[in-house]
Amino acid sequence: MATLTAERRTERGPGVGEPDRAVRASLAPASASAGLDAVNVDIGADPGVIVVDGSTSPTTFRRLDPERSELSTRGSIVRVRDRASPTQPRDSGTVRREVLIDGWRVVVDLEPAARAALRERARRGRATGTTGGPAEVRAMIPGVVVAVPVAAGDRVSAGQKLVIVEAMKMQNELLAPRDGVIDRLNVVTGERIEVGDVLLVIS
Amino acid sequence: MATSRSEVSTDPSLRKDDLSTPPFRRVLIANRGEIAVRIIRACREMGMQSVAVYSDADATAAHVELADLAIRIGPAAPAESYLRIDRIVQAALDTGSDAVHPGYGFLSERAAFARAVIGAGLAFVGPDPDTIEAIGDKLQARRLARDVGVLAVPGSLEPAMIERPDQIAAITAEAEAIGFPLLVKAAAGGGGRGMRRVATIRELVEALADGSREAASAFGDGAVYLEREVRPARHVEVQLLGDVSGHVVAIGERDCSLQRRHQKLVEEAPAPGLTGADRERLHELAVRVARAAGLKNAATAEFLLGPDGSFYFLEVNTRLQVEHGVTELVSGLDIVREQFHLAAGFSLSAAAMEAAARATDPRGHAIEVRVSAEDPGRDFAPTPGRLTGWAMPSGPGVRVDTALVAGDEVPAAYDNLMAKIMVHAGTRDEAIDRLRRALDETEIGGIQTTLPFHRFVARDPSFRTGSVHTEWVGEHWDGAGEFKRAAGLAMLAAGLGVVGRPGAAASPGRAADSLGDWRAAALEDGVDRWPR
Repeated sequence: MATLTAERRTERGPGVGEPDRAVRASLAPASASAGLDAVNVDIGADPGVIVVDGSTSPTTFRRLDPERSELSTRGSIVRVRDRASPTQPRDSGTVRREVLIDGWRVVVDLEPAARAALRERARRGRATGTTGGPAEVRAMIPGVVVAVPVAAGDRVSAGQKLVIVEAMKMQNELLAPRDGVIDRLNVVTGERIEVGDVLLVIS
Repeated sequence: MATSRSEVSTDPSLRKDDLSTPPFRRVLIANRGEIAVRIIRACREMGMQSVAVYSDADATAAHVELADLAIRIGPAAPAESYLRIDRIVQAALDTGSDAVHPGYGFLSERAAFARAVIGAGLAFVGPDPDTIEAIGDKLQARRLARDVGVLAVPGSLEPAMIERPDQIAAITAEAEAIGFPLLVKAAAGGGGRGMRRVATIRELVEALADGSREAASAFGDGAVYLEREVRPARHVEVQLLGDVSGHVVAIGERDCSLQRRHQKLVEEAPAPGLTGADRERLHELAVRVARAAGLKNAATAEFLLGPDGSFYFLEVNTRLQVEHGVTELVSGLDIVREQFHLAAGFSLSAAAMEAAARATDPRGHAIEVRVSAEDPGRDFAPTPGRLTGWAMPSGPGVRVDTALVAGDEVPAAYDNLMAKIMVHAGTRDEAIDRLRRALDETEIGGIQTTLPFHRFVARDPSFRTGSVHTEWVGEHWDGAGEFKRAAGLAMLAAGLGVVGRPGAAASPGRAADSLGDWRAAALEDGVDRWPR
């Protein structure tokens, strides 16, 4: 059973001539993404019925042709035209669609929900780093720590390499978000880390 | 090169109303976009040659393709092209045109342009320059209305002066007599520019200064005056026609109450909820002012219908208006055709006189929605860009005036009106049903337009009951909320379009993009993959 998670993150468009705001819909198999403002849809055994947000209001989706479909939910039927957007986002893991619905033009970016969660945690990690207090530096990718060129008590400057993580046969450097002193170092070489793990704290 | 043109006698008794001979041989249209197309169509129907003028941004525009001849008049910026009186008059002379139609906006209400055209020996398809000058100034128009006993919106009749203390004292006293809240308005132009709302006496002088500065920048004339705020009000306007013998008639009225920041969004004819007596009274007031101004050709007198049921005169627009089409639909008269007829010195045609006779008893009901390149989810912010999809409605009782096709660019340099979708039916109810149907058929891709707002209007119960007024849009339209709702459905649809049903084959159209591979991989093992 596939679960579709749509994340409702709309940004105000900046103005004339700039790219449209895009809303982010994530796509994931069978696992819910916690902590996102999400719409969860389960496409169940009965192909004509889709359960939205766990509620009993059935949604049916009927494809009319490669671009047009009919969506009926909560008593109304809406015709939708959805096609590839002429401009695709730079990162190839995201697919951009242009959806025309009820006179609105909505640009939707689709990416796997796990990846969207990653992005969200990374964003929050960066956000914490900009406050004045101690910064928790979290892992943004899962992998194995191959090098830790700093030690507890070291004074570091913004951009300095703190931890090197190997993932997917590539080496990824974790850089200091700002100047400070390493308060606590939680990892050693050879350790396996997961997304969101606190690797060290800078005060 | 001297242009040959038949002598136009101003004595109507000497001219036969000969509709088989075109009034002009060749007409230059000093405009662009949908109105230029509209005017060219009238020329074609009347057997007159048409000359288009275009800026670099419009080199492949529809009005250029449709016209018999086309002349480039400059780069994209209006100040360098469509507002260049010298270049346009020269283009008319170079092409041997014998008349110039100014359309709306641009130079249509510039007396200097009308004078330049006439001075070059050509006919100007519009009112006399003196009339344009006289009633183009809103203060002069208000004084004229007072002179003929037509009630104007209570307010001042002279430009507000704030240079000396005694002047400030005088304007303050006047403001107190008018009552707060009131409006500071520009004498030289409209569209909300130079306008300020003043809630208390303390804000008055600053509002006058700010309004004056904005008016000077927008119209080259900083004169401002005070008007009482009439609220809630309905905006009703009367279509007027006048001929060389001084005969002026009204052929119908329109309601344009659905506006936002003084830009009209929806117009209809006739104005809903008026009795025959109301209509007669309104038309008579409009004709009285126009006659006193010596109106020739086409113009529109605007009024506010106050909550007390009174009609308050606002101003006269001495040009063809964007929304003229709804009046054409319910009156049966081709207004642009009549404009050419009148500009050639003929008296009002039989068709025009018939339309005037039936003005208080119109045929059915017509509604127009302005589809513009604006985002109603972001406070109607402009959305220039390229159209990837453009499907306009058709069928019974549907009229679409547009100059765009799919693939066209909507430029940022000009007003962002893309299409006027009009419907006409036997009753207002049927017109609204037809509007809803027509808008359901309408689909536009590539940029956001005002379409969802219009679809909302067509379904809204208070619009259906005719409870329209100038604050309606602000009170009823929640753009951000409506977008959010649609975005939710869009995400759902896009996602469902990708996931489909487990085991369902990818549809043919998708083979080309990376979507299929990515989707399959994500579904199979549920493991996040780094982007390649």
